[in-house]
Amino acid sequence: MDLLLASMALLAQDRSAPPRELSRGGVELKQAFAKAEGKVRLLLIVSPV
Amino acid sequence: MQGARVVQEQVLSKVDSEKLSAFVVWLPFVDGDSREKAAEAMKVLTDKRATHFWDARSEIGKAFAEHIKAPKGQKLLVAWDYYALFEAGAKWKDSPPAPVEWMHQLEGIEPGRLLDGDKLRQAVEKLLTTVRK
Repeated sequence: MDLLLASMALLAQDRSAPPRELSRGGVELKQAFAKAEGKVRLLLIVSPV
Repeated sequence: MQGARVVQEQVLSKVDSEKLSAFVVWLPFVDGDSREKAAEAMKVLTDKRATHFWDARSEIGKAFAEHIKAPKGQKLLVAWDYYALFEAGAKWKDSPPAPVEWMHQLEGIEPGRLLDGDKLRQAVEKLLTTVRK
């Protein structure tokens, strides 16, 4: 169980870190979108200011 | 950023389901936008189901602009202040999938789709009823 929790913590995004920079083509977003298949997905495209 | 706050407060904080994921794409659109500003802005959307990205080239915004019908004679180059909902089976191949529902905060674009937190939450909840437990 501890191992599972540790793994989940590693997967979770560090909330104090800046947003993950997308490579050309937005590969990281596409991968995350695919990984969440089976879930309802909400996408926000927003400006920080 | 105001829209991100609406989504946090009126959608994510009220929908308690692990069958929902959120992706927040921050992009530079107005003067002063930067990855550092995005890191600050992330604080308004703290839901643990959300993953945040910085789209320096606005590629994602450009890809979704095609889904938005611009006023006659105009062309929308980048989607921003844009909120899209996808069914559980949606697949992102070469181009992004069409959302089941989308809303925005843009001037001159379909007024019936202006961001409404309650309506977006209802759409999320309705879609969640179609997902296998």
